[in-house]
Amino acid sequence: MAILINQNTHYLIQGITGKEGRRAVKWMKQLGSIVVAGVTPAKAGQEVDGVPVYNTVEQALVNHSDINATCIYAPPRFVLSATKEAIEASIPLIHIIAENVPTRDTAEILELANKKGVRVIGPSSIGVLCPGKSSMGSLGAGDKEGIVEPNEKGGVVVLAKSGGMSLTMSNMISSEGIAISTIVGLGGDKIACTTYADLLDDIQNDNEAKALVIVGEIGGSYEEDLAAAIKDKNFSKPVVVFISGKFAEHLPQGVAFGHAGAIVSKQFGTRDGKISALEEVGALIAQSPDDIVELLKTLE
Amino acid sequence: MILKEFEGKKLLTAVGLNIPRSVLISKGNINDINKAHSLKFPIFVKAQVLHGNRELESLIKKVENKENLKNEVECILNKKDRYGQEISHVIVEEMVEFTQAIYINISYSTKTRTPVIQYSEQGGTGMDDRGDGVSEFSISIIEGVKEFPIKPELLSVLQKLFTVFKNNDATLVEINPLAKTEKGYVCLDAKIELEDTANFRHEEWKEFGERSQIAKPASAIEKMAKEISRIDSRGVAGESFFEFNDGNIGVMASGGGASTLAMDALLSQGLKPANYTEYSGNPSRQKVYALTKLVLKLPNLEALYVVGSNANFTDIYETLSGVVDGIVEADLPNKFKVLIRRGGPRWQEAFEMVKERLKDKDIKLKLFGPDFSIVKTAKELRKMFEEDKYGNIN
Repeated sequence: MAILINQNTHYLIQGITGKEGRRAVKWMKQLGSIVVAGVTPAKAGQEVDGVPVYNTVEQALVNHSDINATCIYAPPRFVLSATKEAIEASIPLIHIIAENVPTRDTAEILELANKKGVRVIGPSSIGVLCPGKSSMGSLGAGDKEGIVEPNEKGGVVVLAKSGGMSLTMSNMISSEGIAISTIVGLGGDKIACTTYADLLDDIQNDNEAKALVIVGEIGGSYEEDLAAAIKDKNFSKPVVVFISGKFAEHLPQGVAFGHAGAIVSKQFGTRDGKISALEEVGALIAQSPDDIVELLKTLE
Repeated sequence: MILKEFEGKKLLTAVGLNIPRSVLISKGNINDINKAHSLKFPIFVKAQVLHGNRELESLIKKVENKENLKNEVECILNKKDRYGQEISHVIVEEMVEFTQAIYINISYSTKTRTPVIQYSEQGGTGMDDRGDGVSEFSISIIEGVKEFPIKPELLSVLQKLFTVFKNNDATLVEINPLAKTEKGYVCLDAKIELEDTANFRHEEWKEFGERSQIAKPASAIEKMAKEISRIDSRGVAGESFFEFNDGNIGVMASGGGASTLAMDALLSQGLKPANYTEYSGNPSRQKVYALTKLVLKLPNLEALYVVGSNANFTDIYETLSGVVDGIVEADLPNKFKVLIRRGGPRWQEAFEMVKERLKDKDIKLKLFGPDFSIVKTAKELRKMFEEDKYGNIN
């Protein structure tokens, strides 16, 4: 087992003929992912790295009924329409890498996905990696140094908003000999279609997930929501948290995150607020990313 | 992009919402004041600035008669806003008699991950400090506002406001106050924020022109950084750029998470960044070069700190080539310190290139690869400064 993806995940790649799409196919296959089809409107009949291309998601599914995940490699302005196609086709797991997707589009995507009961990771998510099993997206793309060693017995689950931090943290943890079971880049947009809290049940129920590492950031309420969910769900695995963003408190006035419209959620978003909320539910707080490794060692 | 009150109110009238009768006067067209003579006095002169609570700086003035109007308008046009920005427009607006001042905003909530309406029976100034008495309702982005049980008579106003919110890709539509009058509801003020990432479907936004994202006016260097980010559409470089006083370290960070982390680390070591900027998403060499040149123009610089996470797809050779292009050209003080910490595609090759191209420069250089902790680089940089003072302490 692993969370979200595994050896049985069969991928579709939407926007497969674009530059990033082509790179993603190559990289995902290199990491053992099964990429069965791609979609780019008006490009049916082509192949990318041996993967057949179709005009629509529907046509891809007719020819490859085993597709159970899709990666959207469309530019921001086409993300909504591409994702809608995947949701309508009931593909259960959808990954969106594009940054700068308008919040209105993300809100619509999330509402449609919730209605249909499918899961969307992103936007602005680098992807999901289960070392040795499967990779969805561009985590570690192209850099063999960046590959996290697989481990049969499972290990730590790393959740981060930032793509760079999810990889950096995982490299650090892995280089200390601590096994990693899954890495997820959730994306740092205002609306994340999947949050830390959304994954708690998956992690609780996965026997390969031994502990949870959260690399959080200031702003928004997802870290506070996680704290509430840990309590509500009686999440029983160890949680180690690092939250960056001290420096934002030094920014000149007017640069502060959030705005006057956030009047009732004023108490949310600060680093201190997030840390105390998570500390209260028993999470171990790392003062720096290096501390994360030290804290993980104490758990073994 | 934050809209000024008069720009926001245009969007409101476009969907049939009521606003008070008013006249817009710009600095260059002060004679438009004559149009205001047909308004019913007393009237308000309101400075068009990006921040709220204007009465605190006397940027809203009640004027009783025509004779005083020109004076008051000129007086406000000669002021600056709270953050030192020039005031280019005022509106002269009729006073509205009302029986109730309501607070309403529509924004996105990270709690519900939907649009939400925030509503209070008591609008007016000081809303920022008022958490109590504000109720919140989640709305479907697809279906819009179907009902408003707490105050059904507001439903039609809310539906119109939601149209403004959705159709204009706003992230905030705030009406404070929404005045209840004998003739219905009137929006006395409007604060609207549009989301820049949606500009691909809003040709009409061009008419708003360039503006400071934040309330503080952008410095010359900050403006130049924005231009760099538009050199081409590949990746991001210089899109956010903040200049700090008294710093001596130029910062070029990469990757959202790592960037804030690097800044945290610098501050915790007692070091003083002169700026904050970032590049990411595999930007072109030319863009990174232009950004490096700009950073190295900051006054009193003694070091350059180039720190990023282990990149997933940014080509480190290409981006560091841009950094070195900038360093090579710059006129730097002796013993200028350069610390680079990067990982990702072609990083080893890139480090060889950096060493080779900077070997004849009078520069103290330290390079760290993907295995080196981001946080510890700040300590390493501090050591480089200490060595200057006390000699090599290792």
